[in-house]
This record gives sequence, structure tokens and C-alpha cells, in this order.
Amino acid sequence: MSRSPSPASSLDFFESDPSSGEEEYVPRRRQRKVGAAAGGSKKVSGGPNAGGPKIKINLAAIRRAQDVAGAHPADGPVEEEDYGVGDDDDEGYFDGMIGKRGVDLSNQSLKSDHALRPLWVDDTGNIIVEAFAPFAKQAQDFLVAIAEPVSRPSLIHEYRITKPSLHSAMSIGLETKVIIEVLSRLSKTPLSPRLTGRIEEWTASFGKVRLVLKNNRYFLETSVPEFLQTLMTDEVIRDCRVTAEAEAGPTVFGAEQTARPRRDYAIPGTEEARRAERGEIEAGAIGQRNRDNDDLIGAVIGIGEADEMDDEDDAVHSFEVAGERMEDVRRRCKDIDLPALEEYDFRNDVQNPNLDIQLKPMTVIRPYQEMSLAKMFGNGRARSGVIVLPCGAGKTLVGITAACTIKKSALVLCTSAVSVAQWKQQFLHFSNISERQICAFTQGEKEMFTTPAGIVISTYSMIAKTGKRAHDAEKMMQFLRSREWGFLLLDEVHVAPADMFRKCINNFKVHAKLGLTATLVREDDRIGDLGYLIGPKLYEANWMDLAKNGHIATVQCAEVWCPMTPQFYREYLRKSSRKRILLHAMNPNKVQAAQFLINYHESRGDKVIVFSDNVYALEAYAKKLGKSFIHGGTPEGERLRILSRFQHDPQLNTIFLSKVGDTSIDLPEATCLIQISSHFGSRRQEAQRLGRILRAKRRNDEGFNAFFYSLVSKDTQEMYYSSKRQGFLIDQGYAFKVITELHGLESMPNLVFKTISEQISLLEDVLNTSDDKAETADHYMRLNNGKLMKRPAGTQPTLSTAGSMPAVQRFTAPLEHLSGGQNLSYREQNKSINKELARDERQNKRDRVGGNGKDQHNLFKKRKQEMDAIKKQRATGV
Amino acid sequence: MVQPSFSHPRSDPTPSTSASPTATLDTFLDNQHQSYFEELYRSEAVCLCILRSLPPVCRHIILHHLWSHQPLRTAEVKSFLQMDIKASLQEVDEVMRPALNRKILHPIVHKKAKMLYPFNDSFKKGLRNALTGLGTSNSFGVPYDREENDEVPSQEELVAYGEDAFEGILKYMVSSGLGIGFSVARPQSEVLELLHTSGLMIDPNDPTGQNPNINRLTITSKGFQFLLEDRQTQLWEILMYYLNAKEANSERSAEVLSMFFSLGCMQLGQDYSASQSFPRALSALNDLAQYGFIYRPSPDSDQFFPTHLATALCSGDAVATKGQDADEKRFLILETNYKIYAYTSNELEIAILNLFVDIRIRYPNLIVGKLDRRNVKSAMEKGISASQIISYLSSHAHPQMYNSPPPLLHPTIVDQLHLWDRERNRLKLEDTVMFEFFSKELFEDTEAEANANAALQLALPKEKFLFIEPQTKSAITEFVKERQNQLRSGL
Amino acid sequence: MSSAYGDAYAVKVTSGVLVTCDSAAKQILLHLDSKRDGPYKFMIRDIDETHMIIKREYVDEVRDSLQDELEKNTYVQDPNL
Repeated sequence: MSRSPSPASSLDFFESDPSSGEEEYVPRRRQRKVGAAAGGSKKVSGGPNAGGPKIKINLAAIRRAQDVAGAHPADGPVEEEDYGVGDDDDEGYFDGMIGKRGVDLSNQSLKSDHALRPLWVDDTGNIIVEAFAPFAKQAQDFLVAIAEPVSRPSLIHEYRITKPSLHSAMSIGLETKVIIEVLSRLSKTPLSPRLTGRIEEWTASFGKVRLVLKNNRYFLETSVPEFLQTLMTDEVIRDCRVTAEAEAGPTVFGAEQTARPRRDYAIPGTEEARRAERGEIEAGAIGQRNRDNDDLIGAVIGIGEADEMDDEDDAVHSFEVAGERMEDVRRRCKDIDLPALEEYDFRNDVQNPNLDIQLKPMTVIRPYQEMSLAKMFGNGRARSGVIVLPCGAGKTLVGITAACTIKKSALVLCTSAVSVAQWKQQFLHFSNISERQICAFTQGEKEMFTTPAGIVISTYSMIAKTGKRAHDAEKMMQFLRSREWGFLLLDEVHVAPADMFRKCINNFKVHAKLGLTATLVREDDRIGDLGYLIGPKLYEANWMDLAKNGHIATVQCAEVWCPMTPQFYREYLRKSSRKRILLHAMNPNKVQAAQFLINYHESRGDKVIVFSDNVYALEAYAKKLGKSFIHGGTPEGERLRILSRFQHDPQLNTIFLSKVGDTSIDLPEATCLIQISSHFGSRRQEAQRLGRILRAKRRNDEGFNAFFYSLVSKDTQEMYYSSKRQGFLIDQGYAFKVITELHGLESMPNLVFKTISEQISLLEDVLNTSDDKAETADHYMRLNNGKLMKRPAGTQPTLSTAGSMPAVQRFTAPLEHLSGGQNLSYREQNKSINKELARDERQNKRDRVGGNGKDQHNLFKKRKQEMDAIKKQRATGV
Repeated sequence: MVQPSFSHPRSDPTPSTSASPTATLDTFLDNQHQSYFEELYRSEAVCLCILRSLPPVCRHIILHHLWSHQPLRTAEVKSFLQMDIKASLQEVDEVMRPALNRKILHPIVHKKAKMLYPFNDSFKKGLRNALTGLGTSNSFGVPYDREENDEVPSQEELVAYGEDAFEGILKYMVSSGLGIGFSVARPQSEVLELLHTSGLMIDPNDPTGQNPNINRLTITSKGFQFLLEDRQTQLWEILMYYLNAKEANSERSAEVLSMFFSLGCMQLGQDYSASQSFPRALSALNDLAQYGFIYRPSPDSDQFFPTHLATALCSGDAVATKGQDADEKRFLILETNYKIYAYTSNELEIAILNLFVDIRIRYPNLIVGKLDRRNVKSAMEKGISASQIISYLSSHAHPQMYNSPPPLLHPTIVDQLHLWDRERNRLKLEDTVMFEFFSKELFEDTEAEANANAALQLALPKEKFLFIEPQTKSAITEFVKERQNQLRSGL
Repeated sequence: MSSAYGDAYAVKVTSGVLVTCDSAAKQILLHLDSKRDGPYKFMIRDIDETHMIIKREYVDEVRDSLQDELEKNTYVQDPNL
């Protein structure tokens, strides 16, 4: 029949012979709509059902039809002109069957060897890939370079060609001709001229304009005189020109560039680099392998190198633009379809001193990390752009390796002081950089490196801070601003608010910028900005592949449906939407589900993180279930204590985190994540949260699974948002199992809110809570502009539930007796776990201060300074 | 892979891939009397086909004993099955049940807990003849004496013809449900009448179902379910509807049924003589032509060719009847993101998919769509159940889907389909009459009375409420009044 | 035993449509009914957490409005995403 997964059955249609007589019956599977050739045989097929008693098969006609089909395997000529989105055919059997949004491309002709080709491409740039087809691997490497991945589950993947994605492709060195050629070779059907036209149009001017930093001055360069004209006459860009210099016209720098640049050094940490070190590769051959990698697609598809090599290497024209107007320039260039490519020829940069930094010999980077770096350094220069890797897939190492490749001063920006410390530690861990060459710029630390080149790590908020700064901070900023930076590394690029982000980028003179993130989800408007603020997306990893290869943990995702109790639901239906948030978050059935899951996973040895965006719910749950929590109002010291106990103390296996834990708190111990309330439909947040357990230490254990639960109150808005949130992960191939009933919950000992009266009193509490508590945002964060504040009163969780632990054993003895972590379960009625941790910590401190040297003492001094600084800041107010 | 399962095992486990394709036939035969079988077993073809339809063990025992002069004994069955000699009669019965149901054996109580199973004579003779080729009933068909210029279609052409004819009917059914007019040829009126009497289609303007306008039929939920069945099941269902229609007209159906079996034993590509093969069922043979079971070069010709639809009827191999490779039937890829990719350009398959899939793009050899809530729920409105969708999806799963560890369909999607199904039925609405009692005694008596008369919908003892079927209202009211009087007068 | 009729054996009979549903659906129905005025109210008797009796003429309306209510909590993916 006419289904054709195999080449054998690729004869997909018959074309009836127009000469067949009227009453002849011709079996036609599908009318060919291209052209009007089918004219004589428009008779509707009906076989014996159609006519009266005079039924006759004209077997000769069938045979003729088969011959025709055989002589013209589907590769036959297609009238391209007639090519359309199927809006004009009215002869199909089942018109209107394909949904309104549907597109009928069944009139495309299949290539005769289509089974060997992995793609279907429609004329708007949507691509479908058979992930199991021959060449699928190569096709995907190619597609990830030229298109946006839309969905990548197991067997069939979808991509979409967009303007930015093509620009990414161009920026890593693929050219229009190659893109079209390869796409057309991979496609099962001929490419539509509409699509090729579009690709040509979108890529025509890309990559011809470069933004270059030379001697602390920015220049727009192009080798195409027309583009130069366009730029010079453009109002916005004209305004940004620096004309103060003597020469008013464009300077011709001459034939600066005679050959297309090639990478002739090895990216550290790769196999190639190690071989080079051992002298196995001759110097000249370095980069060859990677070049091969770059050209892999070309090679497979059979495109010679020569094809992509006719770049205009004429004179390069350039003019200077004002450094402080860089953003305007970039945006304008993008708007007028002349996006400026930013590349840094760091090897020929003699102005800026080199930084002696190398990966330690034991550091090995993984294949996908290498691949992403190959995209960045593909042509020997450093391209600016964004690399997208899931949390836990080793973004940090990619950043560090990039810094080790460029070997110039680098500025690293991340989201919090905690991650500053983590980055610094990782730099020291993976590379040979010395402590004096790397320094942190945070509220607590304001060192400057004294070597000619070095690395500074800071947070977005430190850099973007407006208003008065402390003297030393101001001095530090001066230092940062005055320098020319070889490399700006931006961690979690999607997190920083756009304006803060702009400041961070525009404040500095930077050659190459690399953004790192786990999710570039489209719902986010700022993603568009990233395109010109940083650069195109260079690489996006496939989550399922990473999980399959053990680079990130496999995660079982589940959505747990908790029916609303009638009392809660009654109120829910009658209340404003603000109050509703609290009602569905505090649904007693959900609290029970959380309790059940926590107990279950603690008992199987998991470390559990419970996320709640709603701080009221967070505290209420944590207190009711007797667990520690961290939110925006939790002082830094206490946070660190709780986190460290979570990591090291077998007695503390569950913590509740508000939004503050969404990113950058690195807890590789966590193996189970429970989400009880979330911020509307943010798909990015969902992905980000999943990321908290992707780096689980135990991920490579046989049969290990991490668990991700989303607790949802049934028949409430949460259902809506929950499905929306899952969108991104589902497209990455994750499946959310719906659990409608937690078997065994009813029989669990110490189940909370078991009686109606308890539930009703909870309801009263919720109803008596002021409306602002319903904010899903961590209002402590919001109210205090992201800064820590004094711990609010009444946040002591009590150890009131017994959970799955054995009988309570009470200790009234001093805690000192317990230090050393005996296998005793410490429980003290009416004492806060948070408080308990504080005491523990005090004890440890005392021990250390008393027993150990001065080093640790310094540590505490530092912390004290930090705390003082915070207090001061709070006092000055912002 | 460890996955905690907190859910109760699903109450309605997904039905095992599919019931026997001949389920309708089996039900029909189960309800026939001895005499019917006597008539059937005159045909050697029937004997052979019935034998084939038996479970392997049963089949072996029959064959083993076919040439014996002694009736089969319980002990022999036991030893054949290596059963304990003390095993109960029931166990033996259980094994032999299919043969007993088909009246192949007539059990006779021999001694206590011992049975004799003599063969039905007609069956024994028929099967012996079938195996030795000694039969005289022409039940395997009489080849047509072909003349020089008679046309001889190839097997492929016959398959194409049969496929086209049968799919034409199915297409007509689907398109009638699309509400966009008919661009598909209308089947012959006899076919339409059968579709109507079988309940697969109805005339929406004819509430009684007595005077349908045969040209304005639309598909029913039963019809939709029919579409999702595999081909073999569909064929047998149609044949059995046909047979039942014959019976309803008080026509003898055994001749027709034996013709079905005869067709099932014929060779694809061979032509037969109608008058000599089925002298007493010529009109039925003509009727079958309308469904594509046979191809006749001209209606007055005595020559006919069975198509693959007919010849595979008794093969017992469901897949082969598709006239396609098994691989071609397995064309669906369903991803965890609910996307469906169907390697097909078959209009019928597309139309069926369109019942519950939001089709987004159609390429020459691929359909891209999404199993989305809206479409699935609209399919459910049409009477298609989650289980039917699931069984359709799994029976058509692409070979690539088998490469990942089972289950074939991701449990998330299977669950979701069931949840969508459940979502529709959140309200149960029924006409009722509520009785509120104050007296516990009166309540309980009435409850018992309602229960006894199957009139009770719901009883709430705490509130002393009874809900009863409205049509029993007067009877229950009578009862209540009587009891009231009795109770009041202290009885 | 108290009774409106002063008769221990009195029986009150109500006809209508018995609705059997889960407790959340029941709450939605109550809520819908509470927003209606006198003659347009569809509920005849509120029976317990999962049952009520409604007027026959409102059956279709009730079914549809409940569906609408539930539909609000369903996310339909934007095909362009």
C-alpha cells in the first residue's frame, strides 16, 4: 500500500493514464494534485460501490498506471510554481480533515531514496527529523547549528529555522549556500523555493559587518562598500560615530585579511590537546581534527571545503563608534538586518597581556562541552554568543575552558555571592590559576589582582548597583571599567533582569562575551535582547542525550493531583484570585501528599528539596512538617548552616526552599524534588528547578533515578499553570506521569490534617491571612529589593511531627554532647530546627575557635565583616 | 528502573491487545443448536476451518483421535495432557470445551467421573475428507473453466481491488461523520442497509430507525468503534451482521456461513465457478462482491476471483489479511510530548487518525499531528473510548517504538487518555424521585421493597432518603401508603 | 420524632434529576446555583457532599456550565510555541 517507511514502498502514487476510458476503474490511492495532469481521471474512486451493475476492472489500466509510476519514481519533476500551502486544493477525499492550522504538503514529491534521508522540511522552516534514520546524528549536529530545537523526545525531533537561528549558523561559519545545500540533501522532499528564498534573504547581509575592539576603541568593519554606505547613512549609527578624530571618512585598513581564519590551536582539555602535548600531533596539524569536526556535516553530505571558501577578502572598511553607545549600535545593526558579528582575534592581540592559565592535566572535558567550545572557537577567533546546557551538565567547566583558551583577563558575572564562591573554587580546581590572579568582587570581598592579567568574579547586582557605593567598591569599579577585558563570562544569562544586564555588559570594554544558561525559553522577551547584547546562540545541548550518557541524572517526573477538600474548594470558588493562590497552595490534601512523599523518599535514603514560591505556604508546610526552610528572609549565615547540614547531616534530609533556591544553590546531594507552589506558568522556572537534581552525585549509580514531583490542587488554576510549565521539559523528552492517588497515604501514621476540624481550622488561618501573603513571589526578596533583611518574627518551625522516625527521644543535655553526629535522632519539642542548627553552628564555631589555629578565626572575621556590610547597607537604604 | 507507584493498579486494565478477530463468529456459533452444526459440517471446508479455529491443544487431541474407531476417553485426554489421573472432570472439560461448544464431540457420561467423547459423525467424515481430499461437496470451490480471452488479474490487482472496495465503505462511514459533505462514492444500497441494520450508521432524521433515508446515513458511535478495529475483526463483524440480517429474514444462514468458510479456504489468484461452488448461495456470493470479498469480471459471468479479504478469513492470522506487510500496518510513532507521526498516505488511515488527532502537517508519506485534549475529547463525544484509542495506537505502533523498553506506549500518555475519558463523566445525571422519610422503619421497608423491584437508585440511610426510578413511582407510592396505614394502625 | 407534618410516618416526595458527582464538581454546582436568581436556580435539593437534585429543564445548561468552569483550568498549548 501507500505507506512508505521503507524505500521499497516509495512508489507513493499512481498516475492514471489520461487515455483510460470513462467507465474504467482506476485504483487511486491519492490524487496527485500537482499540475492538472490528472484531468481525464477526476472520477471519484469507488470501485464496485460506485456504479451500477456494470462493474469492470480495467486491469490493463492498472498495469499501465503501475508502469507509469515505475518509470517516474517519485523523484520526477515537480512543478514548483504550483507549490502552495494546500489552501487551493478542493479535490481531496477528506478536505477539512487536516485541522484548520494544518498544512497539506502531500503534493510534494518524495525523493526516490527518501528513506535514507532523515528530514522533512516545510516551506516555513519547520523541520522534522527521524532520529533513527541513517545520518540522523549528523543531521542533528547540523540542525542544532542552523535551527531552534523545538522538541527532542526519543524518535522524532522537530526544529525550526528562524532568523536568529540562521544568524547563529552564520556566526559559526556556515554559509547560505552550505545551509541550503545540506538541508536539501538531508530532506526527503525537494526544498521549497519559498524556504530557500527566505534563507537567502535572512542570511544575505549577515556576518558581513563586524564590531571590533581595538586599543580600547570600537570599530564597525565591513568589506562590502554598500553595507558601509548603509551604515554610514543610517541615522542612529551616524549619531554613534566618533568623528572627533582627524579623519572624518572611513579609513581603509587595507587588505587586512587575506585568508579565512582557521583554528590552529587546540582547545584545552580535549583529547586532541592531550595528544598534541604528548607530541603525537605535529604542530601544524593541530586544529585539523576539530576542523574536521566542524566540517563533519559537509564531509558527510559531500560538500568540499572549497565550497565555503570564497569570502570576499578585499579591503576592510571601518569607522569608529562610541563605546558608550555600543548597545544602540548593536541593536540598530540588528534592526536594519546587518547584525554585527563580534569576534575576538585574541591570539593576535598584543595590546592586552596574556594570562597564564591552563586546565590542569587531570581536567577532561566531555564531548558535548568540546562541541560547544568548538562552535565558539571554530575559526580561530573567539565568537561572542550563548551556550545552552542543562543545569548540572558542566556549564562552569565550559566557561573555564573558554577562559583558558583565550588566556586574557576575564570578568565572570554570576547571580549570587554563593555562586561567586563556587566559580572561584571551580577555577582553582580545574585550572592552574594562582590565588593571587583570581579575585572576587562581592559585598564581602573587594580584592584586585595585581598581576598584569587576572580574573575577577562578581555578581550582576554588584556591577549594576546604582547609587552610592562604598569607597572600596567604587575603587574596584573604576578598576574594572578602566581595563580592557579579553573575556566576559555571563553565568545564568536568563536570570539577570534586562536593565541590570545591560549595565553589566555596557559598562565594560570587552572583546569576547560568552553567556551560559540552561534554558532559552521563548516565552521570555529578554531572550531577544540577548541576541544583540551578547550574541547568537552557539550551541544547545540535547537533554535526553546527556541523560542517556550519564552526564546528567535521569529524572522521573510526576504531577500529583490533590483534590481540594470541599471546604477549601468552596472558599476557592468564592474568593478573589489573590486569595485563591493561598487556598490551593494550602489545600490540606496537598500538605498530606507532601508529607507522604517526603516520608517515602527520606525512608529510601533520598535528600529532598521542597520548593514553594509562596512564602506563607513554605513556612506553614515546613512548620507543620517540622522541616528547615530557607527563603528571602533567612539570614545568610543561617542559610549556609542549613545548606551545610542538608549536605552532611544524615538527620536532615529535607529542606524547604523559596525562589531563592531556583538557581545557583548547588546541592548535588539532592535526589528528590517536590514542588508545592510555583510561579504561574513559567516553563523556564520548571526547567531550572528540575536542574537542581540533574547533577545528583549518585546519578551514575546503577538504576538511579532522581524524582521530580509537582503537587497540584485539582480543579484549580494550578492545573492550568502546571501543564503550561511542563511544556519545555516535555519537549525535551520528559514525561510527567499523573498520579491521582497516593496509595498508602491514608494509613500513614501521624498524617497531618486528618480530621475535618483540623482542616477547618487551617482554612480559618488561611482566610485570616492578609492578602499580600498570597504573593507567589518571595516577598521578602521583593520588598527589600533583593537584599537580606532581619529575620521576621514568628518563623520558627517546630518539631511537631514525628514523621517516619522512631519514637521520640528527648535530650535536655547540652548540645555539645551531640556533636560528632552519633546515630541518635535528636528531637526537642518546641524547638525550631532552624534555631537548633544555629546552636549547632555556634557550638562548632566555639570548638574551632578554641581548638584550632587562626585561619578559621579569620574566616569568621570575614563573615562578620560580611554581615556588618549587609547591616550597613540596610541602614543606608536604597 | 525504579519508579514508585503510588497509584492503585488501574481498575480497568488496558484490554489485552485485541480480542480474537472472530469473536462475533464465536458468539454466533456458541448460540447454535446441534442441527445447525450438522448442516455446517456437511462442508469439508467448514470442518477444516473450525478445526483451525480451535486452541492448539484441543486441535491436537482431535487430530490425534480422528482416525480412531473408539470414542475419546477422559483418561486419554488426561494422559495426552500429562494431567494427573485424579484430576477432576472439570479440568478435562475445560480443555475440551471449545470442541464441545462446536459440537465436534458429544460427551456421554460413561462411569462416575468418566466420560466418553464420541465424534460428531458429520464432522469426522468432513474432516477426514478434507484431509484426504476425498470430499464430494465441492466446498473448497470448483475452479472455473477458463477460456482463452478471459481476463486473469494478478494477485496484486486482486488485493488492490479488495482493499479499495472495503476501504471505500469505511471511508464513506468516516466522511459521513465529518459533516463536510460526501466526496466519497456512496456504497450500494444493500451495503448501506446492512450498515444501518447493524447500527453502524443511522439516519439522524429518523428517530424510530424504521424508515431511514438510506442516502443520508451518518456514522454512530458503534460505527466509530468499528473503524478502530483491525481489519480481520471488521471483516468478520460485517459477515456476521450479514448473516444475522439473513436470519432476521428467516432465511437459512448455514449455507451462507459455510460459504464464508469455503471462501476462506480458496486460493488468491485462482478463479472459481460460482454456480458449481455455491449452487445454493449464489445471491449471497453476489452480495459479498459489494464488500470486495470477491471480484467478478462481470455480474453475469460464472467466473469469480476471491480477493485477499476472503482467502485470509480462516487463516487465523490477523495480520496477513491486511494484504500488507505487518510493518506497513505499524506506522505510528507516538512521542511523550503527545506528538504523533504517522507514516501513511492512506486516506482512510488519515481519516481515522483525524478522529482523535489534531493533524498539523501532511507530507507525502507522513502525517504530523498531536494527540491533544480537544480532539481526543471530541472523539470521546463520538463514543470512542480511551481504551479503543489506546489499542488502535498500540496495534499500529511503528517498529521503532519496539526498540525502547516496554510498555509500548508511554504510561503517561495511556494514563492521560484515561484521565480525559474520566473527565467527561464527572456528572452522573438520572431522573429520580426522592422519598424523604421520618420513620426509620418505613424507610427500611421501602428500601427493601425498592431493592426487590430493582427500582432503587440510591439510599442514604443516615438522612433516610430514597431515590427511585421515576417509572416505579406509582408502585412505590402505593407500597408506602399501604405500609403507612399498617404502621399507623400499629401493625 | 419531630416532623413538619406532625406525623412520624409522613413521607415527602420530590421529583427531579439526581446528580451524582465528585465533591469538587458539587462545589462548583453549588457556586453556580448561588449566583442565580430565584426562578433560575436549578437546584431543588442539596443532599450531601456528592449528590443534589436539580430541575429537569436545566440539565443541559448545568452540564455545559460545569464543563465551562472546568475548562478554565485546562491549558491548551499555543501551537506557535
